Order: sequence, then C-alpha cells, then structure tokens
Amino acid sequence: MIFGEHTIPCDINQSDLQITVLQAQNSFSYLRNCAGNIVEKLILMNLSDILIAPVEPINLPSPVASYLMIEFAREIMLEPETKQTVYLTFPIETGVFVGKKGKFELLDVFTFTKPRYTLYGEPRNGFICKYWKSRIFLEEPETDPMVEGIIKLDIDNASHEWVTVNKALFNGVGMKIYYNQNCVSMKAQMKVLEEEVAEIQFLSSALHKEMKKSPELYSLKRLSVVSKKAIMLEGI
Amino acid sequence: MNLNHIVYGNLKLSNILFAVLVMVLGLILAKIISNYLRRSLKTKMNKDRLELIIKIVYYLLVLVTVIWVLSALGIKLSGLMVAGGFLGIIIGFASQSIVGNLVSGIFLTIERPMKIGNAVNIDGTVGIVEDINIISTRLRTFDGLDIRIPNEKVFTTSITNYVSNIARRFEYSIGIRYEDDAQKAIDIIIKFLNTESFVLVNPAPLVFVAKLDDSSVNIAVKIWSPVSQWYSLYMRLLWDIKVILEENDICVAFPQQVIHFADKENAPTIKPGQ
Repeated sequence: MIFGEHTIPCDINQSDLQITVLQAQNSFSYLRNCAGNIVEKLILMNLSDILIAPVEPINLPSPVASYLMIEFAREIMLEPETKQTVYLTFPIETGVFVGKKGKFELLDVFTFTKPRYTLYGEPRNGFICKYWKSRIFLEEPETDPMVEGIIKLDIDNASHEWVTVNKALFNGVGMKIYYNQNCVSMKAQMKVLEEEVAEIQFLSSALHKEMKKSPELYSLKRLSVVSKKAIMLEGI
Repeated sequence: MNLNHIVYGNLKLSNILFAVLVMVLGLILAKIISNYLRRSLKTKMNKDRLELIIKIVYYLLVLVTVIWVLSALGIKLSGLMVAGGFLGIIIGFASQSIVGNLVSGIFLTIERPMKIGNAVNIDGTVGIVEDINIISTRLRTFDGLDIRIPNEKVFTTSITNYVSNIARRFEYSIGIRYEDDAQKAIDIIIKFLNTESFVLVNPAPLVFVAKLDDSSVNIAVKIWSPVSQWYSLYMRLLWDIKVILEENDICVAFPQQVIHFADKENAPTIKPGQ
C-alpha cells in the first residue's frame, strides 16, 4: 500500500522503490530510491505526515511542458454527431508530500516511466508536450498503478463530418487525478468541433467510488489567468 | 538664512526648497512603488512585461511629481508646453542620435523582437538580454561582460533570437569507416536517440548518409529538442553517439589515403614498424 497518508517514521519497500522517512530532533530525514535514482532531503519541521499520491505527469525530468499529449496506437474514426467512450493509459508520476492537518507541500516526484517529449503545432506557436503512446481500450483496462493510469475519454463528434482522431492533448492545469491502491484515473471530455479542431477538458469525478483526489500542483488558484481546456487547433 | 528671500519674480527661497523636497520625495516614492511592484509581481508575470509595467509606472509617477512641483512653483504649464515645444525642436536637432535611439527604443518595445532573458545575437554580439531601456539595450555576454548597445543600432541591424521559438534543431556529422555498415549505424543511432527524453518524438530525428567523403561515410544526425534543453543535449549527445557506435564495433574514421604504385615489381615493401 503506497498511495495515501503515512505517519512518520515510515519505511516503504516495494520492488524497485524504497522510501524511508526517519525522525531526528525536530527534523526528518527523507530518502527515496526509485530504480537506482536516489534523492535525500532534510525536513525541518515538527509533527508531520507523509502523503504519497499521483500528480500531473508533466514534472519529470524537467518541467518544460504544460501539456500531456497521448498518441493513440490506432486511429479512431467517429461518425458525425455521435458520442463514444474509450479508455487510454497515461504515465504516472508520483508525488511525495509533507505536511499536517491536510495541508501538504510537495517534497519529491518520481516515476517508473521513461519520459519523452514532443512538439504539437509549429515551433513558433505550438506547445512542447509530454508524450505518451497508448493503446485504445473499449473497456477499462487493468494497469499497474505505479506505472500507468487510466483516462476515461468521452469523445463527442459535434461536427457534421466523419473525423479521424489519433491523438489527444491534455492541459496540465486542471487535471483531476483520483486514486486508490489498485487504480489511478482521470475522466476527460473531448469535443470535436471541426475536422482538425477539438477541445478537451477534465471532469471532476472519479472512475470508481471511494477513490481519493490527488492534490493539484497546477491548479487554477495558482494560475488564475490560465485556461484549463486544451484547444487542439493543429490536428487531432 | 532668510527663507522669504525673493529669488526671482514672486518665487521665494522657501518655495524652491519645498519643490526640491517634494521632487526628492516623489522620486523616492516612485522607486519604492517600483520595487514593491517588482517584488510582488515577480512570480506572477514574465520579467519582460514586468519591467515594462514598472518603467511605465515609474515614469508616470515622476511626471506627476514634476507637473505638481512646477504648479507649486507658479509656473504655468501652457506656457511651458509652448516653450517645451520650441525646446524640443532645438534639442531634437542638437541631439539627433539620442532622439533616434529613443524612437528606436519605442519601436523595439512595440515590435518586441526579443525579451529580457532571451539569448540573442545582435550584429555579432551574442549574449543574454538584461534590459531594454528607451535609449539602449544591455546584453550580458556568456563570458560575463556587460555590453550596452544603442537602440538605433539594435533596431537597424539583424537580430538572431536563439530562444524565441519553443523548439529548435541542431545537427552533427559523424564520419564512420567505409568497411562499417552505415545502415546498422543509422539504426543504432535512432534507437539510442529514442531513449533520450529531450529528443523530441515529433519532429522525429533525421539520421541519414549525407556524404561519401574521402576517408569516411558521413552520417548526418538532425535532432529537435525543447529550446530550454537543446544546448545541454548538444554538448552531451555527440560523445554518447560515438561511444555507443564503438560498443557496436562501428568506429569513427581517421583520414587515410590508399596509394597504388604503377610499378608494382619495384614497389618498396614496408614492413610493420617501419
């Protein structure tokens, strides 16, 4: 059981992951070893808890992207004015938070996936996006929650033409990630407006009952002028 | 000291001292407000826009203070405007280059070919833009020198902005031996590049035989990466590619020449070690 709150001291060991937090005189020593990638920190605070939860997958190895682009392994063709639901996978980045009484601060982020980046649009006015290639599932797939999460994507073809969709762009601001010990999930809605234009936004609901919501690192509270929709103007 | 001493017309010494005091206080207040804005908005907007807003606020406050001080001294602004108009023409003729720099500065602010913090090349001077004032632009070169370039020169010369686009391409030419399998080398390089996070998936890297050179088969490697990461990637990847090729028995070629002797019978025999 990794995701969720842990009281200090704690020692979590699971295959390639070790997280050790020890208390020592008004401070804590934090050690994380994720597949050989080691981070050590000293936390100067009193009584505290540790929260481990999935976060927006756009932080590692460096926060150069604000968007996640998921390329589909197979193209989806959708007839005019119809709605369909598909399931995709997305890469998991796990955040370790420190705090007390529900107020947590990000301490560390790690991932078991190999991050890649891509360009959506032109170098002058496009976006650098975190890249992930996903199979398309018509039913909810089983995943390793430390590696892959599930996006339930409702695709609404609001245009009067058949459309082909082979990728989806997700804004890092406003991602609603929910988790339990078996699954990490998001729900999103893609509205195809024209043959090459779509907008995608996240829904604030969990895939299953009794899933907990992850803290948002890129919430609208911090970036009040930033839209939480992803507008795809350069092809879908 | 008699503060009621008449200096000029109805103007008393006390009026002048009061005006100087108000002017100094106005300048200090403008500076304090500028610093407060810089501190409070630093994390909320980019540096370029922030500096522009701070300059506008600062000069507006200075202007308001000057107008108020002039009014307090009994100087009529309408008369000053006429005098200022004539004075402006005289100063304009007398200092054309300053006016040129000022106008260029305004156009640079409107056109915005670069922002504070951008890496640029202005007429051969390469550096980071530190500040864009109304008269001049300041660059910090990569070896730490501070260079001031008049705006007129900046505006009329070519500017290369290395970071205005979000992604950029760089390339290598890698010469391998003729006896090595070029297609195998290409496959190895592509496979290796696909493990690098900051080598963009799209536009995909291009790897191909670019030239059959005198001593080597030259393979061109063209890579796109996020503009914030390209230089660290550029510094690292060439050696990494060389190492991974050598691990697969593909070597970087040395210059060599094959000599054929017309008279093979009497050709000199060179033994190893000679």
